[in-house]
Amino acid sequence: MLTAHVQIANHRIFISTREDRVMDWIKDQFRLIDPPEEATPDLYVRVSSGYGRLPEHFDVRVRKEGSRVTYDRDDFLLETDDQYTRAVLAVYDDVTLNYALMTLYSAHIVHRGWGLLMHASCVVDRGRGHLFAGPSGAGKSTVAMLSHPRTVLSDEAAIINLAEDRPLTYDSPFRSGTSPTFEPDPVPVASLHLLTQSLLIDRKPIKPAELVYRIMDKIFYWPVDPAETVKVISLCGKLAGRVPAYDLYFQKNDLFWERIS
Amino acid sequence: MMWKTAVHTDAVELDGEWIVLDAEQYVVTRLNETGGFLWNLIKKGATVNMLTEALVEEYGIPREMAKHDAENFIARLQELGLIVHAA
Repeated sequence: MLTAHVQIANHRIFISTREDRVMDWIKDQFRLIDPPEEATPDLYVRVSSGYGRLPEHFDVRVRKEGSRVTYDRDDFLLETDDQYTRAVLAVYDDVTLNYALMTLYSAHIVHRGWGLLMHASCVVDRGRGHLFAGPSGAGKSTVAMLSHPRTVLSDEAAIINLAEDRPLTYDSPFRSGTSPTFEPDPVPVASLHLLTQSLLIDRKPIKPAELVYRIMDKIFYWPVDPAETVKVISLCGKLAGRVPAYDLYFQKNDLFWERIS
Repeated sequence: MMWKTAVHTDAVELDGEWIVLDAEQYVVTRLNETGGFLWNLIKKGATVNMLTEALVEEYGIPREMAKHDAENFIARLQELGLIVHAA
């Protein structure tokens, strides 16, 4: 059996597999750490490949039977306990592996009340993280690209820690185009922007309640158990109450940073 | 008839506005300050009459108007599946 310890934000994940290629996929996409001497991993995952086929549609089917939760898509099958700490995962390929681990990680951090995975890019400016959220095509990756040479912590799925008073964000391995920085330290979240591409550059504040209403569909979360799902709104409320948010109308250039900085 | 909030709901209050989540449908509903005020009463269990009296007392509006507002609010929340009859 091949094993690896992976770190995502401040969570340690123990991954095991019998396949060399799966271990290569893990090494390519995630930050490996030395086995911790004392602390036990937060999450154990056993991975195999060769499952399913290229998906015709991308809906994830979720069901809960007893204490088992199953996430099922054409290209992966993920079975976990209802504490989201021990999982068995079968995937089609490396891209699927990343997506399935994101699915599991999202459920894990919501279950613990630790934080959220949001459809957002995150760019660091002067030591503080700025989130840019929106649906596919809204410009998350474009904003990340236009922000060079600033550090990009995420271009698709931002990891937001809401367990402490001050929200923090981390390097995200769940990427669509750019590569992870593998930077271990978090940065405080300074702002959240909902993106609209426009001919004019403008930035307008969003009230906290309106923000919660508008970001619920931008959280990576697959509801199955109402007792778990209610945690999402409380986490969104924490985010909205602690981070200033804006509608950002931007052109395809970096002038929007003048409005933010 | 006594009403209470459905078990699969939860709400957060931010700057006087309320967001209610239906965790079964994964749907959110916005309530204004008055809606949030009534929501908190229903959470403890309330009838239309109790809500009417509370509106009269809190906002000083005529009883007829308060009753009309309370009935409409209950009807809308019931339609959205956010409240149920209390046993």
